Amino acid sequence: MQLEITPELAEVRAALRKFTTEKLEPLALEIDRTGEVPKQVVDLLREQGYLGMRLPAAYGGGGFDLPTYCLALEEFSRSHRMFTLFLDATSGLNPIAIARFGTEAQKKKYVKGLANGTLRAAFGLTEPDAGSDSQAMKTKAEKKDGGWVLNGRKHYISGAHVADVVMIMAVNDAAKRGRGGITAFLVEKGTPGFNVTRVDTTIGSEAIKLAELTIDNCFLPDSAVLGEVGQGFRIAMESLTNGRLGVSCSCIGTADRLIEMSAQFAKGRVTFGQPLSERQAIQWMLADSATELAMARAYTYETLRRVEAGENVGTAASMCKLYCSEMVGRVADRAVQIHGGMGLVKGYPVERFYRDVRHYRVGEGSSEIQRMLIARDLLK
Amino acid sequence: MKVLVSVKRVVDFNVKVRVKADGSGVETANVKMSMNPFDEIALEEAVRLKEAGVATEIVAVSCGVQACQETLRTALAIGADRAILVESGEELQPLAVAKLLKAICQKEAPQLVILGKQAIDDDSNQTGQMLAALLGWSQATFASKVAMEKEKATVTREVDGGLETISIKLPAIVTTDLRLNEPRYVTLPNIMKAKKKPLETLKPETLGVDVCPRLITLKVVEPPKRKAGVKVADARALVEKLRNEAKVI
Repeated sequence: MQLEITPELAEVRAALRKFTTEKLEPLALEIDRTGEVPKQVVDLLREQGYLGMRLPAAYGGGGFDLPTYCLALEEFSRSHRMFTLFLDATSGLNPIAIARFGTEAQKKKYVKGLANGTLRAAFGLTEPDAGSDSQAMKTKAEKKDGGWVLNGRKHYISGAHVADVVMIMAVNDAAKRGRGGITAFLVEKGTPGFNVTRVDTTIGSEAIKLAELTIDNCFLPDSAVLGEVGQGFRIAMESLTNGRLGVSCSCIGTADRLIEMSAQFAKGRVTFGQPLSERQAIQWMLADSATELAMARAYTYETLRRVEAGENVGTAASMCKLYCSEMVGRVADRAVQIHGGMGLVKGYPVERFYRDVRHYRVGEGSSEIQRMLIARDLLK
Repeated sequence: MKVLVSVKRVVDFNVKVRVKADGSGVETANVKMSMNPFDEIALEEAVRLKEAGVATEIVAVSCGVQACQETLRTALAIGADRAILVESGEELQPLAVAKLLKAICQKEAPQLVILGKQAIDDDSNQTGQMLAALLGWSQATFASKVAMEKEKATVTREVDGGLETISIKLPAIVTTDLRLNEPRYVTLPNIMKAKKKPLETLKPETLGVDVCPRLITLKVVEPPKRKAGVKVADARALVEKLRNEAKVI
């Protein structure tokens, strides 16, 4: 019996599973072969209503809640992390922040485009000297007549090289910093002084890229401020709580697929006259993986239900993100081991999953940051 | 024009079917169930007729246990306008389903009824034909192409020798073959919209239909395990065996 966030979502999962298995999976293999994302991916996701699925219906979004969005992340993660990034770029941190904190004009300008897939967004927080310690950021915003002038550098920003609008966090009051001195700006591609200066590939899939953004005397009108001046840090932190549950569900989806693949492989591969699945060494690996996944899923779904009930789940979201990201790392490691040589070669998805899941322990708050937050709450 | 489509809840085509320990049937507890793939094709055809402005309303019907509601919800998400569940805990055989559908047809008066040519669980391939006979309507089975005109339909059928094109008078029964169309994927927004569409539940008694099984299943067994083959020394021995033992050449 499949555990569900709510009983109603069983039907949604069935639809997602069918679509992912039959339509997305062949494209995932093509991404692996070419290192590029086929153009039809965006069209396919738009046609099926996945782009902007969490944005408000009034602006052309799908109007879906966080659990449904997380379920889509989970099912897409069974195929390829790249697909989850399309959801993130149109329904993730930045889009949701615009929908929540944006002015009417900003919503009209961006939310519609994000919902129909013509625009993509990115979230620019991390800097060369400000990662987990994001309050140490050096990007500055100076007030000028009719607007602001920004200077600084952001890096490791997922998808920023293809983003049409990037949320840039900058310090407008160095004395206050995280306590009201950081502001969020919406910066459009092509704004003078705003440039993509490097694109990095990572340990993960070659198609997934991080960008460096250089901001050099970039003038922005007052209308580019998201929310209130000085509210930026709060916007970033609130966005991150939901993001952590999204990451948790992505980990759950990948672990689920890897266990399924491992069990199937173990049943078919015969060594010394016996299927691998008959060997206790393999059975124990599978049993550990399945147990850890079940626990991760139960607590993450419970936390999603609490979010929907309006509870504050800051610490619980950190626990989910910490446990799920470390869990999928162990599951992926065992999956490679069970698959043996086949787990190492390119062209079969196990090695790519193994590389892609490493991101989850680092991105959107590293394991260490999550532990710090959990301990801080415990010891307060 | 009103179109009626029947949809059956069956064991998903991906599931490895297992026989129950007591040999009374196939294990369905804790098994993934889905809409019969031929019925998906039937529904897709109806939705395309609606999109083309030919059909005005699509009614999906399912006969069986309460869980068939899930199958009907899927049908509503694909594009049916409303759904009818004829709820029964009995084992519903093709004749019983045909009688139930006949009663629904008399109530709803559709111009066209589209059914899958068979369900992938019992592979009976009977319900559509029986329904046509009971109603006295024209039928076109194993359709690979359907073209609607005013009072009639031109249907291309897949027959043993190739393709056969026939013209049938409406109201009519059409059963679908695999190559009629490629069903669409259910989208999440449509799943949500489907929740607001009406789903009516009826009982066989209220339709005045006796659904008692007319056939009794004696025993269900797994197919026999394939026996090991033999090795032959040379081509001459192979030809010898093919000619005299297998008698195929």
